[in-house]
Amino acid sequence: MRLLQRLASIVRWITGRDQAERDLDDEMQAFVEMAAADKMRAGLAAAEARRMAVLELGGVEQAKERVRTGRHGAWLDTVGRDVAYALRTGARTPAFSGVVVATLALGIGATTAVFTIVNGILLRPLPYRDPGRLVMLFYGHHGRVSPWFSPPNVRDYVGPSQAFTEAAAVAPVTVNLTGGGEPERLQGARVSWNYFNVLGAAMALGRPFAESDAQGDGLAVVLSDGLWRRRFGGRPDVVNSTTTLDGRTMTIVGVASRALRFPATAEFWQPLIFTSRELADAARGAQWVQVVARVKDTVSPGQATTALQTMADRLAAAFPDSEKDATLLVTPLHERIVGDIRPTLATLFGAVVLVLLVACANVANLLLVRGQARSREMAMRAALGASRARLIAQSLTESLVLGGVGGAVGAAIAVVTVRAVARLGPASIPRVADLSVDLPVLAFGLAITLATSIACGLMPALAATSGSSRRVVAPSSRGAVGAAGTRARRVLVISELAGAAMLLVAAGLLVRSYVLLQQVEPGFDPQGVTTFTLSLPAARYGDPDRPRTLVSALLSRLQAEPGVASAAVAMGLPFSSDLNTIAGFRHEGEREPDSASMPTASLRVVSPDYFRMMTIPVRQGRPFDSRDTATSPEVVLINEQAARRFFPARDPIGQQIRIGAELVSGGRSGPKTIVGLVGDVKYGGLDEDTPAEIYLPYEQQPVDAFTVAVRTAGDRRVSIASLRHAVAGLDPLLPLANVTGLPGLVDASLAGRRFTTLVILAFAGIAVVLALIGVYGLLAYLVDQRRSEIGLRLAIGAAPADVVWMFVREGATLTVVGLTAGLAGALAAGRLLASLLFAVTPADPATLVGVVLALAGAAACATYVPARRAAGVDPNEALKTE
Amino acid sequence: MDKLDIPQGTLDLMILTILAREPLHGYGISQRLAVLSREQFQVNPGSLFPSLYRLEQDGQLKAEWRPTENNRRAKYYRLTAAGRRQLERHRERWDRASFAVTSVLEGA
Repeated sequence: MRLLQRLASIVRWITGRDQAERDLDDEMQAFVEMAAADKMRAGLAAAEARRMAVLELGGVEQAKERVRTGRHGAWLDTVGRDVAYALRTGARTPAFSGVVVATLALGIGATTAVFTIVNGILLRPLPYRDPGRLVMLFYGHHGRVSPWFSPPNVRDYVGPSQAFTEAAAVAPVTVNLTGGGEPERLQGARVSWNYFNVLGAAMALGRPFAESDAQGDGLAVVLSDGLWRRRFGGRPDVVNSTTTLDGRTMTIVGVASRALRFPATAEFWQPLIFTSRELADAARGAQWVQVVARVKDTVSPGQATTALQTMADRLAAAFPDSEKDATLLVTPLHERIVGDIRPTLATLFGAVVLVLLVACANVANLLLVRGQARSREMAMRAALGASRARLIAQSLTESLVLGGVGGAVGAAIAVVTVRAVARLGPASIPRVADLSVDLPVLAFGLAITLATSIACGLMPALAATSGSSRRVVAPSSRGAVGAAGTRARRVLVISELAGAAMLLVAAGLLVRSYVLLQQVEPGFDPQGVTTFTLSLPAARYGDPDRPRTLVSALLSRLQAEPGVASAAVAMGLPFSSDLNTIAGFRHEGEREPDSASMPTASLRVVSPDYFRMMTIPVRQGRPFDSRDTATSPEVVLINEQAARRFFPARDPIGQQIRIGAELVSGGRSGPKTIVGLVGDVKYGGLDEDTPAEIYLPYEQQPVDAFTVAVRTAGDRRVSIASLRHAVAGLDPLLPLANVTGLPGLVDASLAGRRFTTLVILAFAGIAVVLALIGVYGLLAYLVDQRRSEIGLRLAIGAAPADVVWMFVREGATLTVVGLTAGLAGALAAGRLLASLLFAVTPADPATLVGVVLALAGAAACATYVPARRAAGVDPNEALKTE
Repeated sequence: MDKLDIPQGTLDLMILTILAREPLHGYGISQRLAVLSREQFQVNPGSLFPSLYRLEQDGQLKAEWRPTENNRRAKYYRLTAAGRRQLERHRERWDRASFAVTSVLEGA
């Protein structure tokens, strides 16, 4: 009731404010008149009586002010007036307000955008049921830790474990989708039937797999939301209809919810059924499935690791050949998905916070200048009875209004940026497509807007109101005003320079890394090479002669195309998405090495022309040629890295090895003779070490999925249509996938790094510009403030150069202190950056010197221009203004 | 002679008491207060008016513009029913407090 009454009176006060003001005015007037009348009756003259009455009232305005501030809801009124005042002053100085709003919008927008990315990728839980309990298993063996397991190990390690409520195996697969349009190659995953239960992911339509789906041929499929919309038109009646994958008719049992993106590239899921061969003890070396599991509520990941390790030790005793020294690790699924991107995002976030701080310092600086310009106004208000708290509140309101506008513009910037990143961001960033502005992001944006406004506004507000009201009486306040303000401005400018220096060092290191990386020779010439991938469905290409026939026919067709210089097929083309098969091998004739020291190498299967097509040099021996057929003695080539590592003291040519993996089901697995040594090539990225590689001839290992690469002569190009035509001429149901150029693939491997580098570079650019504005602004202000002193010095004979020097020294001090602090900060933050660098250390002298020279030079310019103006001061005029 | 400061929190009580007898305008209240306190208290209008406005907002006073005996227009305040209740409560508490204080002073 009381509350309602209060609210009503607040409303009345606001709505009927003019009336209330008039009433108050009249009432005061009446009071004065009545008091004066009394005094006149007591014998005073009219004028004197009135003066006394006003005096008694304690100043009409102050009394009214006290009434106003004493009322309920008065604060609302005050805020309203302050906001209106802030808007008015803001509109009166559009240039100033524009600069402040733009700076804040940039800072807040960039920070919010980066936070959205950090939130969406690192902070937001995975969109599955109780995602904190989802883990991925890792298998450590031969000194390597990998997520890949062999089916018997999944059965023996994971199955009996008490640590998990459920576990599922996942194996990536690519299939050809035919029927209902162009044939298309799809990436998907074969998964245990309980996979969707393990993740706890909802279905958009239909049902998840049931145990019955994992029996017999397993002809059931669950579509991803993306595939369903793209290929099936988003029709709800796809459930229980059929589709053809790799020539097999599969029943669509369900469509997964949009949120399910695991594995990241999967567009469909089909049941994973292990054959008895795959589950045999002999197959423990073939590791090709991943394991995702749900940890019991009562078990921590550490305890799960311990439980699994006990199991591993038992297996090591049972199968010492393959499982000796095997270790098992359990990692949260979220960590597995985002772990790699974490340093990049941490760096970006650190950088953007620096940008925001520099922007804040810059705005605080601008507000300080304005505060100093308005110190008379402040003093006047103080004299008229405004308390200091009141003045500070008003100053803060002004910066909050500026910050609010800046924050609103910044939010728009953030939304646009995040949309662009979600659409165009490098595919190497996990979860990037799901980025969106959500509640935590909005809260964050609001919080930093408030924090920024207060951080910017508080120091100027304190500085502007620090003087007493006496100041207003002093005729010239120029020299006396704001010594505290100037000190504050120095500190701010130094902080800006330090922040800019840190960002510039980071940007410099990243740019240097990028430039060095681009100079890395991949070991082949990517220019003019067009690639696409083919995957031969087992239904029609089960007989190994079929792939051989297709490949040789395809290569001769392609070579006959006009403009084509050479053509080859490869499983394991550098920078491609081909399967990177890593296998152990042993030297023929030597006794079986113990498993811990078993050498491993990456396997590549290539056609004879591959090395010529890629311009990979043959260092010793011979490349593959027509002698190497399906029935001729088995041969391999190795790269220099393999020769260095495995044949350090002897000539590898003529040596024989056996490989512990089966590339083609039932394919040749005899001893293989090394007939040649070829040059090293980069494989996964220019920043990675070249792996040891073993090349096998396609004729002897006719794998069913590979990349076709075509080199054109000179600057001629080969049309995609002609490639398609060549393939369709041999098998019209075979889709071409990933049609692209090798230069594009190499370039794509740099995309993530380029993205980070450009963003940090942009941040550094913004910070440097802001810092230079800060230096320039401060020096210009100091020159202006000390005009009369300069005039005096010049009048009594100081050389203009001395005056210039006076200010240059000031600027140089700021620069030296700022740069020193910045470099110290950069070195301290170097550890964060180290993982993103290539071939440079965080303390790279060239970069540090370069940054110092560049920033010092720029700061010198920003100093010199105002200092130069000091020398141009006319002594007469300067002294007269005093 | 020095005037006394009005003790914290008693201004409202005195205003309500004065207005309980008859409606008055601001100047009248300040005069009445001076007379009734035997010139010991003189309320500063800078304190009086904020109190009046607050009491009015709280619904304890009601104000209306009326001509004075000298044919001026002035804003007269009068007690509402709520104001009367508040006065009783206030008065009772004051009596107890002042009795308590006196007891302490005399008993010491």
